[in-house]
Amino acid sequence: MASKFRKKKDQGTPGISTASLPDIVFMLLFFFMVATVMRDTDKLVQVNLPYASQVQKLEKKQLISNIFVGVPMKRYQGKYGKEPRIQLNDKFGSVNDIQPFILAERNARREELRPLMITSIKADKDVSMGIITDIKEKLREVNALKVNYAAKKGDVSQNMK
Amino acid sequence: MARRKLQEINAGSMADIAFLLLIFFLVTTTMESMYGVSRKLPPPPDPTQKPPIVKERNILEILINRNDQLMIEEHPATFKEIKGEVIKHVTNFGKDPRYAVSPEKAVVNITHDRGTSYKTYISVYNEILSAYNEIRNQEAMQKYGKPFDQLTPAQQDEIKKKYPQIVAEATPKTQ
Repeated sequence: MASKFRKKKDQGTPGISTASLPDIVFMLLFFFMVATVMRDTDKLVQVNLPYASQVQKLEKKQLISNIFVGVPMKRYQGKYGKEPRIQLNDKFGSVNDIQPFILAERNARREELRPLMITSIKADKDVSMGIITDIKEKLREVNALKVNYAAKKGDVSQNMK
Repeated sequence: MARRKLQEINAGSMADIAFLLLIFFLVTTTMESMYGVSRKLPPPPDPTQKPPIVKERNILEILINRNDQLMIEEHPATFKEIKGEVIKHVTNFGKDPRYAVSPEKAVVNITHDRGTSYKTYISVYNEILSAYNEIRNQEAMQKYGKPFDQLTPAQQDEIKKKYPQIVAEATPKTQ
C-alpha cells in the first residue's frame, strides 16, 4: 500500500498552493478596515441627519469645520445628560466655545483659503431650533457666514416618520 | 479503516470568503460623502444702521410654532402648500395685491420658535429653495432652452439677478 502512494506523488507538476492567498487578502482587508475607521473624529453625539432634496455636494473637505449637535452617545449620557449638546472636534463644547473654535480653525488654514471656509452644522433632526439659533448667532459675530446644514439626499416627507 | 491519513482542509475557498469581506467593508465604509443645504448668514447687525423698511405685501411670512405647525400669512397651512405659495409670491409681478410687487422685492420670512424641531425647519427651508430653483429653471428654459445648472455663469447670474433669493429669518422670540 505504501509503495502505491509514493508512486502517485511523483507524477506530474504539483499545483500552485493557494493556501497563502487568504492571508494576502486578509492583509488587504485589515489595511482597509484600519485606514477607513481613522478618517473622522470620534463622534460623541448621536447625529441622525434630516433629509432634504435641494442639497449640494461639499467638495473641498479642508475648507470645512464641523459642528455636531445631538444627544450624547449612551456611554457619555451619565456625565453629560440626555439634552442635546454641541461637539467641536473631539470634545464637548458649549455655545461660548464656538467662537474660539472657529478662530482656531481659521488660524489653521492658509490665509488665502480663509474667506472660503464653510461651517458645516451637522445636527440631529430632532434637535430643537433654540440651540441652532444660538450657534448661528455666534457664527455671525465672528463673521463665519458661510453655513451648510448637513442633510441626507432624499425627500422631506421622510423627515416626518 | 483503522489508520487513515487526515485529509487536508481545502483552503481555496478561504480566499473567496476573505474577498467577500473585503468588498463588503470597501462598499460600506467609503461611501460617506457630504451633502447639505448651503446658506449664507446675514452679517452681524450694525447698530448705526436702521433696518430697511419692506412693504408688508412684499413679505411672505412663514411661521413655525413649537409644535411644528405651520402658518403662512396668518393662515394655518401644510408643507405641500409652501412651494406653491412661494412661487405665487415671487412670480406675482404686482397682479395680486396680497403678493409681492416684483421678484426683486419679494422676501420670504421664516419665523420659528426655540422649540421648533430642526427637521421641520430644514424641511421648510428646503421647500422654499425648491420653489426658487423651480422658478429659475423655468426662466432658464424659457430664455435659453436649457436647465439652470447647464447655463454659463454669466447667464446664471443674470437669472439670479432677476429672481434673487431673499430669505429672511426673524430671531425667535424667547418665552
